[in-house]
Amino acid sequence: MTKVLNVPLGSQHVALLEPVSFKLTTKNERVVEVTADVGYVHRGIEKACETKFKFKQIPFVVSRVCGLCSITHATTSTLAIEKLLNLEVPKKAKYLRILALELDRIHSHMLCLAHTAENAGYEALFMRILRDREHVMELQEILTGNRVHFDYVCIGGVNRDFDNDLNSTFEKYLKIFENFTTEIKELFLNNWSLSLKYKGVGAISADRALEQSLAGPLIRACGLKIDVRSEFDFLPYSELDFNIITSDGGDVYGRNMVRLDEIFESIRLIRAVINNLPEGDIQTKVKGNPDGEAIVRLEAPRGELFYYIKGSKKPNLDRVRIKTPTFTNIPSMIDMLKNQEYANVPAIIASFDPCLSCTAK
Amino acid sequence: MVKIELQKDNILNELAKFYDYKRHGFMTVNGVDLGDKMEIQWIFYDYSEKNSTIVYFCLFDYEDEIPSVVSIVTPAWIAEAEVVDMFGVNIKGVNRGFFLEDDSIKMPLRKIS
Repeated sequence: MTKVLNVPLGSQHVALLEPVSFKLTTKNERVVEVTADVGYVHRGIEKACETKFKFKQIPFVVSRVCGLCSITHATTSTLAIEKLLNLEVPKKAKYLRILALELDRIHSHMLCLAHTAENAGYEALFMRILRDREHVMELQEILTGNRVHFDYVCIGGVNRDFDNDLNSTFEKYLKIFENFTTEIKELFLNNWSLSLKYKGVGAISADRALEQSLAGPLIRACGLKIDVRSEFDFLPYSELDFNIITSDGGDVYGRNMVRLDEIFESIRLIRAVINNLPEGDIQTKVKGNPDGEAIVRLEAPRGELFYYIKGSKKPNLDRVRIKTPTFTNIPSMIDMLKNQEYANVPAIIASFDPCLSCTAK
Repeated sequence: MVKIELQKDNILNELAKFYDYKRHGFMTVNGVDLGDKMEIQWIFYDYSEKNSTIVYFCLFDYEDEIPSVVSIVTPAWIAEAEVVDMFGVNIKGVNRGFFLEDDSIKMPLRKIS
């Protein structure tokens, strides 16, 4: 006999890091229908950017969209405004922006992996990953002066220079990151209940991923080499021999593997930045007001972050549009939950690494 | 950024001719309130080209019915739902309330004097 149950998941739930509500209809514990409500943390940031703040303040406002990828929001909006101002930023500032972005990617991926461990019942591993993630935040504080909302990137460059005396400190921490990521990867490669049982769970084919325009580690886990860092020259990733990390299977397991390998790639990029850091200024002077339309995309830890900015030679902007990776991936998440075992739903959601602060903004 | 203007009655035909999900990434549907009209944009990029951004746009009166492109661009429904909530525009088949609750401020991003 078929048993139909309507199961609410969220808006507050132990398996969810942020407020989102799913209504799942299950037949014999298999999900057959899903509806979602994602608007719990709408804060009107786009409206605030258009009405309350001048363009020079926008990077500091939008960095409050998200506590995890704050630096990516600030950098993307800054790049769009700089495009409208025809501003050439010193090369050293561009390198330092990459440094901050890659540190951000490491700590975001670590939080996702910790959350995956927690969902699988590995509380101690969750704590262990968060303990190690603390080192990343220490480095972010050394670089930017803050742990979460950095306000490091500004229009024209960055706000704080990199002292060459910090090289040894960075190298000490990077070695620690390498060691703990190697350990964690070993666990994710070999442990059944943490990782291997999710092979084939929440899988999406490469074709379907393209049809859904998936972003970030999700699409790269389908074996597709799509990463905004390789597409645009706003930041000099090509000078650092950036590699796109992919996996195959398109499942929960594959997504975690992409994130683990991207931590290694970010460590490599940080070393390359420090070893090749150009000399010179870190800021250029801002003149005039933004005029015209600009679109900038940047690879946030969760995928493509998009900013559309329109100005008309006034200190206030006419339009600021933010599209975040989770916003892109939600249609696919809802689609993917259908026909899955109810017990796998938290793991699938965690593998999307959803950020509702970003989505609702 | 390449901007291509569409006519109101030809949006779906033009987008269907252009969009191939294996070649183009869909970024979003964007609304811009011009003060007396709405500019609706459908934004894409080309996987095979660097620095590519393709913006199709069309100007609408506030009360116009805007066609939904979901039949051509599958994941566009969420962006359409956001534009409907934020600008109070009428996109065919899209209901209000995915982002904003019933008692929220209506069309918060509309420039109303």
